[in-house]
Amino acid sequence: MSQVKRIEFLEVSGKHRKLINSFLVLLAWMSPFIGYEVFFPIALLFIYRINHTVRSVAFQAVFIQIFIWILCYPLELICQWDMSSPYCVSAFKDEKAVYFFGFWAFFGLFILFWEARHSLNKFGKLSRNKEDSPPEQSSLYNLYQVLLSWFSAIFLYVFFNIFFGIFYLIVNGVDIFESVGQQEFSMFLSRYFKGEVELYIWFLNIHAVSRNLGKRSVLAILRKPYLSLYVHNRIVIPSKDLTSKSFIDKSRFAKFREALLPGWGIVYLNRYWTGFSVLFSFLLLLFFTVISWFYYIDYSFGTSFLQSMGLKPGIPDKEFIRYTSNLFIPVLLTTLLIGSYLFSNNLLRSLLQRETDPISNRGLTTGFKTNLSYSILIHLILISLFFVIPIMVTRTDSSKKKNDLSKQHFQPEKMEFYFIDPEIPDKVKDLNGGVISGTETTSQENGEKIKDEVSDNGKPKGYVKRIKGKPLTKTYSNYISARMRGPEMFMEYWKRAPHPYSCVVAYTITTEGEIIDIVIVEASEYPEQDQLTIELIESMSPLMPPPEAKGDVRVTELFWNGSLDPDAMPTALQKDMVTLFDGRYLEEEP
Amino acid sequence: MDILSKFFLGLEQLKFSDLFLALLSILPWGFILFLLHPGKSNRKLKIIIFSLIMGYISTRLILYLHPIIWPDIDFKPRKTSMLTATAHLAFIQAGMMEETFKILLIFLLAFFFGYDYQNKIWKKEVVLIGGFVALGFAFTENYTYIHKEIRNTFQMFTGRLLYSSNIHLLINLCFTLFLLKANNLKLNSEKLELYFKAFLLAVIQHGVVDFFLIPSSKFGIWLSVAMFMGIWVWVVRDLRKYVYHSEEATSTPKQLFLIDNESGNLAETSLS
Repeated sequence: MSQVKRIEFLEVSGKHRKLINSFLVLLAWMSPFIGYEVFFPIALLFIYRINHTVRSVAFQAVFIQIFIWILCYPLELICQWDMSSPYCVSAFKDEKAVYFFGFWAFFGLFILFWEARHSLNKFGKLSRNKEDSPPEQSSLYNLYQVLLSWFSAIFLYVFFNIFFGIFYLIVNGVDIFESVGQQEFSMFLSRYFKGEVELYIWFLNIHAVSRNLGKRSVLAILRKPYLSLYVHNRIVIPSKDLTSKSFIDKSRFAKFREALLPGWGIVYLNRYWTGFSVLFSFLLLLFFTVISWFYYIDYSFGTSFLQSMGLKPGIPDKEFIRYTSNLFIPVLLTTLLIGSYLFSNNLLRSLLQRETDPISNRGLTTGFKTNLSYSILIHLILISLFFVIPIMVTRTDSSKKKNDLSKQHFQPEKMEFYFIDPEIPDKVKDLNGGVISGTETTSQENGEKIKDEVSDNGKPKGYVKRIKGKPLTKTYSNYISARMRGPEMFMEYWKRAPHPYSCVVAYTITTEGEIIDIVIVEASEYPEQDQLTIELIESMSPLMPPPEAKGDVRVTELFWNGSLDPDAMPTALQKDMVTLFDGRYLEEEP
Repeated sequence: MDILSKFFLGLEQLKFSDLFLALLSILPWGFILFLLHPGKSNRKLKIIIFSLIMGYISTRLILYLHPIIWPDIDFKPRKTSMLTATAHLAFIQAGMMEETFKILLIFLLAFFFGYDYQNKIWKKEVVLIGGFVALGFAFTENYTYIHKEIRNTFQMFTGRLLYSSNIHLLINLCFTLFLLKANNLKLNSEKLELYFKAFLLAVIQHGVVDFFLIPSSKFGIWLSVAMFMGIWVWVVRDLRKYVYHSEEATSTPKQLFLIDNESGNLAETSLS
């Protein structure tokens, strides 16, 4: 029998252990809601080796999150690929979603049934404590317990949703009896209560209720993998004999992990420096490979994929697309990915031969093979900083630094550029115009700093120091622009828009915010796209009611995909409208 | 006198609700650190109060010196790329500046409360000092951010509670654990080298986490959270090794499973 190191006892001993355990358990279950995601429970599994109160929750939180991710992420990818896909529709969008969620709801109830069955088979009763149950449990009693757990799970689920909803209303001071409040609340629901969050809450409830059926901390269907993981972790101590059964088992477990995810097996052997550098190198290579294939298949799909992670190409889109449209790049990256996979598995085999090394000698070591991964990782990080950057970040070409900005853009005389802010404003003032919030400027040298001014027709020229500006009340036109960017079909709309494309549409916004009477004033040569334009406008309804309007508001709007040059527009009306904020003019109907 | 009052009372228009939220944003982490740290409560409380004051002073120092060191002049820096600006902000303005002042004040206080002059070694109290200087710093910084945020106060509070206070705490705990590690070194030159490396590490940790957090991209936030969880694992393991490990924990806990090393099977278990 092995002697476990005393330092590990600190995990389960101490005066305040119960309090700390409860705190960690709460954080582990809440991890997806507070942004700690799967990383926090994984960290718990690293820190707590023998504390099963914490480990069991961490293990289940990791398992449920990964399970839901595997379930939902492919659907999200399909949605990014094609909004009108039947998978996307059935899973997320319309009434068919009930089949998707209905299935997983029944699956959750089945887990509870399985839990009860397991407890009965194993212990002959549904409760561990004798006081909690009659000496001989009848079938009727068992049925009652299972039904009660089902009811509790559904009740808890509804309660959680209502609780979070009310919490949001109170914290944000939303008045649900006002139309603005209702709209804000519905936006909150659509933003936060997406499929994966609902599934997580559901399985969390299932776990909570299951404890009444067996009073075990791990769900019956997860008990075997949980105990296996524990056993695997207990035998990763340096081996004295490379022919012993424990070493053979350890090799098997490490190889299995390495085959599943390169680097994991090496981390398992307590070689964190090498293991994590291999793991992150592989993940970065996988990321690059996926991006290159997505861009190769359809660059708009690639763009959507990057955008979903808050990223964009670090070099101009045109160049990025030109590189990735060459089959050589994705094939090369795939080859490198396979190479790194084979390398890591080979590295593991050689590290297994050094399993007699004490743990203290498993940090940074010498040797080309073990250190190669650091070099690869650093190079990959540098490459990623160059080619893939966050959306918010811009990179200035040093060769163009000295040029006047006006030379980089098309700049017709007496024309303003506008910044379309996708943030939906809470308050609006007046109908037309845009608010000074952009940073487009004709010249950084000569531009003047603008403070707290709202122009009638968009922002004036000049350098705008946005960070220091006070938040300004936006116009209703700003609100429409932001709302238009909200519907999921907006990206699809622009993906399909021909180049060049332009049409003028008029529609009425009632005092209640309903959109009615949509008319195409000037059609384009693409009737299908015109139809999509109408659908896009319809999808915005209902809107926030127009501010201080005594009657309905008539909107005339230009939808175009092409140059900002008025001379390039086909009609006189469009020549005028292209110079307006987002091509839109609003007027109050008499 | 005017300079002193400006320095210490720079938080114009004190708002108690924001002050309360700022206090709440450090309270859970501070409470746990206080509970787990070995030693008498009176002495711990004394150290904590001084450390929090030092943390406050370090923030005020930075706020006071920031416009002097980084004057807000509207010329060439505007032309640099946002990527470079983010790196500058994360590594130099935030990482280097904040860690320098915090660490200086940690040293200052540690020489009073956390150094054994007889044996020339650092005491375990340096961990408490490091942690609470960081929390004092985070408290003042959080107050400033929460106070500035008029519309989304609660979101700002949760963000500061879950990310900022935590990362300040972990970075400085990590640093002070290096002081305890230096106790094992004999030569002063080796110790100094280790302190310098620990300082650089603190700057890099702060810089990398901020660099990925500032642009607010989903991918960057993942990386940042993954990294600070990694630091957390490291700190907890070192805390157990250098601070919490004592002779009290000798008996086998009831909950412990024992594994037969040869067969790899569970020999005793409280699970089914």
